[in-house]
Amino acid sequence: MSPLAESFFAAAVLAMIVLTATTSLRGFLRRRPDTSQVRGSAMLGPDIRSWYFENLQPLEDALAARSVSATAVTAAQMVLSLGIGLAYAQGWLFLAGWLVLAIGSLDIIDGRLARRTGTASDRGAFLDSVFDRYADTFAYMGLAVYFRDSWMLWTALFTLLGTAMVSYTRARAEALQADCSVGSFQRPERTVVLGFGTMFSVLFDRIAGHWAGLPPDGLLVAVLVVLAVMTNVSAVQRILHVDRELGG
Amino acid sequence: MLDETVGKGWRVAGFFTLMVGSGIVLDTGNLAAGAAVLGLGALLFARGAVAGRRAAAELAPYLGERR
Repeated sequence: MSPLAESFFAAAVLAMIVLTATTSLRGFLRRRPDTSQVRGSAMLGPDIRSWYFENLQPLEDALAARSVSATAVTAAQMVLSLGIGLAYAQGWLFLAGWLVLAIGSLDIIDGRLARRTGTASDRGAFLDSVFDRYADTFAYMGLAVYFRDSWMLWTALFTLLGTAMVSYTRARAEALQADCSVGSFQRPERTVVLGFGTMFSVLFDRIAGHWAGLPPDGLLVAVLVVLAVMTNVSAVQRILHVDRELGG
Repeated sequence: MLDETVGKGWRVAGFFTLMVGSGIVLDTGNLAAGAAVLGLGALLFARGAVAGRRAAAELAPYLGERR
């Protein structure tokens, strides 16, 4: 495909994403559903989360109708996450970004499915957390391979460290019965930022970056730097908070 | 007019497939495979959109709207 055709195609894809998302979100907000029971964060508020849950509902219904267990969904998420790592390593960035979002959604579905079918358990929660760490690691390993010849390799590794520490600090604090409900960059936020950041980076490169002579992957680099900083800031926030909780 | 709650599964599956097709075109440059997946995604999405429109048309008289 010629660069001009690629630009037009990328612009059409961007328009499709924006149009579909805004139309769906406007329809959701017009119905004014009760979102008071949904927990939100500064970045992903209750309305956005409820709208997203509603879009996942058909898949959740289909899995429940076929008696698929929440643990099977959790395991599938981990195995499919290998695909994210491979896609990043291969340089298939748009697909990788889309898989980050799509497979990240399975992390939401397994918990909802467990509660819906009355199968929520400590075992399920443990497996979910452990498999999530594998899934995170596969993605950042793929990014590290993709950026292996540049300084961005260190950013990918630093992000991997941050995501691991965000999880570990919470797990260790909870084991010590300490409160650890701080940190702004948890898994849903990281998934959204990495997924959309990667996809929009590809589209931006094709639509404008190529013609403006900008270096490729500029947006992805920026997103990864933000992730590296924010995940580690969240981890430090948690360390300081738990340290105070435990009398430090 | 579209009833957003009807045919949502098809529309979501269609959108998912459309994104995969777009990724194949953008990342691999394989136009034939990409177009096939995009076509499948468009069909799935259209099925959901038609179901939503039909449901909205059936509901319209009861909502005091014009068909």
